Amino acid sequence: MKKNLKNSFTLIGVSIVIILLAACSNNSTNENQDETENDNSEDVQTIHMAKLESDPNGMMEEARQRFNEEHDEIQVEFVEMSNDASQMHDQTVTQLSAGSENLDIVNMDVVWTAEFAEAGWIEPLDEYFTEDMQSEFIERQVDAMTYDGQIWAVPWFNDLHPLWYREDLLEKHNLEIPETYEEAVEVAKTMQEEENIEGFSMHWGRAEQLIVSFTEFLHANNGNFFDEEGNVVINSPEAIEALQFMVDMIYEDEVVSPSAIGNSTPEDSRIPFTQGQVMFHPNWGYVYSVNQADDSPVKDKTWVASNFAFEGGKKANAVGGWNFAISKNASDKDTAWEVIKWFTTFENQKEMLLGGGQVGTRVALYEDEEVIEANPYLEEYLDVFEHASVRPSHPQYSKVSDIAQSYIHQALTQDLSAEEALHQLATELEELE
Amino acid sequence: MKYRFLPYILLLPVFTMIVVIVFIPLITTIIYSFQSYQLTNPDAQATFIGLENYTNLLQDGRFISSLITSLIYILGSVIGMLILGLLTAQIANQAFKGRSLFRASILLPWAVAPVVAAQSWKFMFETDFGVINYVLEGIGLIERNIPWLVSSDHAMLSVIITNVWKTTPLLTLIIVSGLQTVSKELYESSDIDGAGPLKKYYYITLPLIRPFIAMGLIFTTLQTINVIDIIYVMTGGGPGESTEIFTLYNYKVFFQYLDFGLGGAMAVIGVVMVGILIFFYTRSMNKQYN
Repeated sequence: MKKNLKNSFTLIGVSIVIILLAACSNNSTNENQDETENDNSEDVQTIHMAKLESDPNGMMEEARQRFNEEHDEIQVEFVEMSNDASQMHDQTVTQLSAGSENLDIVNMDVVWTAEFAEAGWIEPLDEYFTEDMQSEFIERQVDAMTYDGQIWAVPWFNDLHPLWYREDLLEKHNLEIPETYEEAVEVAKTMQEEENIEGFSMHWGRAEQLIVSFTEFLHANNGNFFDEEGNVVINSPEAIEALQFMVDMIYEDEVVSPSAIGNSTPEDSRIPFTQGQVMFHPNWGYVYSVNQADDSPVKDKTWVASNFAFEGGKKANAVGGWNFAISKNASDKDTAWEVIKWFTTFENQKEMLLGGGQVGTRVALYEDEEVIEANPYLEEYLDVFEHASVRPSHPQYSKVSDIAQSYIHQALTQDLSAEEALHQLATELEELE
Repeated sequence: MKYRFLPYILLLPVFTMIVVIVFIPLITTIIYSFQSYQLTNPDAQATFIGLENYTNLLQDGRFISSLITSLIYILGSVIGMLILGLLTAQIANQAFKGRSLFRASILLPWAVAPVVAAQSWKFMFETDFGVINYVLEGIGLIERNIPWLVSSDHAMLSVIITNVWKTTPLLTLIIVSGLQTVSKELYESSDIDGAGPLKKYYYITLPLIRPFIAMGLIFTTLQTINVIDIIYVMTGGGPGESTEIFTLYNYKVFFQYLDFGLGGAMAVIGVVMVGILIFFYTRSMNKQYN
């Protein structure tokens, strides 16, 4: 009896281990793209370039093939990366810190500059990306790639986080788009009463998107994370006021649903807006094409503007996007630069924009008739750029962001007051470095 | 004589595998934990600093609170899983029509990928349009929507419910196999002695399946503490830090802050804690035999 028991017990143990092992092994079949390029000949340089998994209409792949056809001595190969920015960060960092030679051109999020430059993973590009050339690109995007007085990457994909709103409802009530948050809250209240829709839809979950939104409120009230000398100023009265305003939007004015504190991705907050249940919605540029889809309930009813300012403050729209940098371990930096230069030309960016809707970084794009005709909202972008706001630059950005998310979130759930939250955040930020 | 080395040769592949995937990473982690090693900081590349990482951790309020959070998460999950597991196992062990269908269906949650499960539950727990609030309101249990995932008071309960739903099938599976080893004769003789069903369960079934329960709890506890998917997807550790278990914090320190030294020290403390937990489980398991 006892032996029997013991035997079956062992058997179960073994079978469970096998099941667990089988469950853990996942067949990773996502190999890179086919290597059809013939690089047998010795004078062909192969450049490995990071590319996001998503490729609207296959425009990236098309551009790569055009490049390879035009160049006999250089062939570009893509290294596929996750669309999720933090996963992409991990993948890139693993390659760079291991000194991999299979990643010549790095694709960087706007907030990684300080970290990558400080860690010595990427090359400064001052020699290549001259000030003359920089002036052809959107200024704020170039600013975001500047760290320690040097330029580290070429802006490639330009994303902004402006305000999307229901133009039809404003017209119906004979209202203009408000200038300040204070006015906007009043408009939102009116709409909630008369149109029975939600005032604001926000992505205030505990994730990077919370920092995007908070930075806008902070800058709109003349606050900041760090001052010019790098001192922590996140507990300034302006910052506390901005955070308090966000808290009040939920609990006092009730123009933001408490469920916003659970929206950790832009999509979570975008869905109700596209369904026609929301008046104001700050979000990234992709909202336009989703709203204009044929089955969208708000087709031709939404428009874009700069985010609001506080009275006495300034408008602030967060900057996002992707940028090309050259790895320290790149086999041939000059060739890598040739590739970056080709991809970021006006012609290629225009092609990508018209074909796949990917918004480029050259100022001239926004004045091009063909482009504006296909994407009328981009005209407003020229105004939105004027009020671009960049998230803090810090060598340990991931840590700064994570700690900030935690405290801001605790204020939003009312576990801490806005003042306590920001004072505690300031103390922790001061301890860094 | 001829077969003297055969066992060793046969064991070699498994042994090599365990060394490569368990011992080498474990030892490297222990070494990291005594070093200042931050990928983002060129000045801190694997320099020996003794116990500094450990003393820093013990002064880190966030780490201590993440340990307490883990404890609540484990306790809540284990209690929930135990009740649900014993119940479903008992039902699955009865002879009734459609038993195989029932058995297959209780395994379903376990077969669902954790991320998918977590995302589905996240939708269901949604404050304004989630089905859970809708149902609770419909049957008149609540008047106002409960902010499940967005208030520190309810978030922990929500992730525990999800974890119990997701992990219990594994426990049920193990308990069912335990129940099948219990000899029918024992019940028959207790019938003659006039024991009721509850008495039979308490004095016969429970002691005999005890090692199986302990074994099942080891697996489910490990899954609970080590698989961060559910919490990561549902709350990201929030609101604030109210559902941040220490493995999630560990993940952040290692892979987001890229601080291998501090992350290593946390992992080592984690291994020790889990080791202690398993020690208690195995002790209660072995009691049966002594």
